[in-house]
Amino acid sequence: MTYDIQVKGLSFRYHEQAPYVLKDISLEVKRGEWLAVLGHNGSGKSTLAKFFNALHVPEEGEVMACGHLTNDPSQHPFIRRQVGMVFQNPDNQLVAPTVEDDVAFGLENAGVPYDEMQKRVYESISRLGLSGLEKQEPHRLSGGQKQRVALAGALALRPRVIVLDEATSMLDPMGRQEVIATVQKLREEENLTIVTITHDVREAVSADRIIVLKEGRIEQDGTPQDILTNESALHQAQLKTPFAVQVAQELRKYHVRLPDNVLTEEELVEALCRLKQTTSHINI
Amino acid sequence: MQIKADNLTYKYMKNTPFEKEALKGFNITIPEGRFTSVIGHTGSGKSTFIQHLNGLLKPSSGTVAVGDWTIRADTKQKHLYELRRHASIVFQFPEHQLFHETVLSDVAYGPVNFGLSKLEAEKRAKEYLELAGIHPDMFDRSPFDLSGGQMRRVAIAGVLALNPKLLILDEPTAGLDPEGQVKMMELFYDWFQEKKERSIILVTHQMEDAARYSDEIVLMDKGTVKDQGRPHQVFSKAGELKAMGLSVPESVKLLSMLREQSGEDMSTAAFTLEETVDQVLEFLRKRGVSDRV
Repeated sequence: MTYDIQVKGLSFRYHEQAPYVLKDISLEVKRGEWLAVLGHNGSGKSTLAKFFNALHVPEEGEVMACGHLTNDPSQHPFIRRQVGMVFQNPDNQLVAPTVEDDVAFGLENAGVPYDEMQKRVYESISRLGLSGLEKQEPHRLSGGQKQRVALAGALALRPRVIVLDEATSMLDPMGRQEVIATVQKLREEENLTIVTITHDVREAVSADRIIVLKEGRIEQDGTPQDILTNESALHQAQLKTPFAVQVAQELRKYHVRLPDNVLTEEELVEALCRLKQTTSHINI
Repeated sequence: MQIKADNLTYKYMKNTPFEKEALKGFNITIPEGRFTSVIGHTGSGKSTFIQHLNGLLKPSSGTVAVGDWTIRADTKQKHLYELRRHASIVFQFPEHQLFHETVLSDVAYGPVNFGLSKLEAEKRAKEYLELAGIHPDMFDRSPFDLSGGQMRRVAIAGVLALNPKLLILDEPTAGLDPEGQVKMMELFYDWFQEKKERSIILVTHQMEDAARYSDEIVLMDKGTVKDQGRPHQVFSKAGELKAMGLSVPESVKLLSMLREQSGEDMSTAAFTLEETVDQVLEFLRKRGVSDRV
């Protein structure tokens, strides 16, 4: 088994007198896995993400990214090309006057030859459904488009891992949907490892695995199925149970027989419509 | 304060090649003492509209009346000074506007500017900081040492301390975690309910909040008012909203999907978990899956 991210016994505080924001974290992310890191504001999830591409380096414990210890500064250029990041605020990470220049920015810094660069820029733009916007000024785009440009820039470097750090939390619902759909598509089409950091449980539904962080510790580690139907654990971590799960749980109290794996509105509607043929399992 | 826009038109970059009409003969009346949510796709003119409500923007043509003030194209700035004491806007990410050395002096800054003595202003600042859930231990700290959620609370305390009659909120919960969002909305709602004459205009993409707290919803599209009514009315048109690139509250979405997939005639008006469960049980009863055990 190949692991793209390996964290062992990681603890972290910003300075010596400060309280620990990460406490003895150990975790592994497999090649090709989609891991969602859930937690409320201040739970340490964004701090943790910054260890994945050596923006923070451990003083206690160790972090390996794509097979290299992040403590070794000579490996940082390699690690940062292998682990791409997209941050929260779409307006803070676009730097160039046009979409194509922005996507090319990282490649230019990495010294990729011009012909190769052109190829990769257009490939990346078309993969993210941004064709036709090459010459647009980034600040005129919608929030969802801006985040996709940021993602295109990261992907052009052909990383193994993409980390989305609350990349949708400043977007309107359409923009959020756009970005999530893009991530799902990338997940299906390529062997990318994806880490999404979020407090929105709806974004974690299609991940392979979820960890829940609370006060700097991993509180839960499991499949969306395990985690998102565990109302008390989510509540303790100050997270909201997905609406469809809440409705399903209430309906079960009325003896409506629903399968355990209902996580989304689509699945709930499907299950409710299937109840048609059967009778006599409701008690009101 | 009652709000009345009459044939309100606003053009950005007027008389340039980039001229863009953001509000097109906009008409609306919002009575005093209401909680009103303004919804609409990005670019529908929501932000342009609310910036007219305390005179940050002036109409290119037409008028906006807010309480006793009427704002036209030629209204002078000094005429609007008094209005701004009564109509306050909380912009998106208000924590970006913090600037003072301490939390307390930041919140007291507005009241001092509007003529209160330093002592009175600080007294009022303390009152609203506590209301916003900021502990007195933090009053003498730099606002920049606080967490993002706390900074936003401080910025909002600064606006509430002006004691406005009309509070205008632009996406106040964006970026907060679920618990933070609920607390923030409860803070505004409690403030709103405390006095009869207080009004709130909330611009939001969070349809659940719009449905839960509003007396009325204003739906904007391409610089005009497309619909205005109680949440039940506006959100009953899920198809139309979707066509405009808007979502509906998750409860309405779930029930609309159920209606569509089953072909059953059913109501989709439900904004809470209880109401949604009731509608689903009603649906099951109708379908004959309701035999009692």
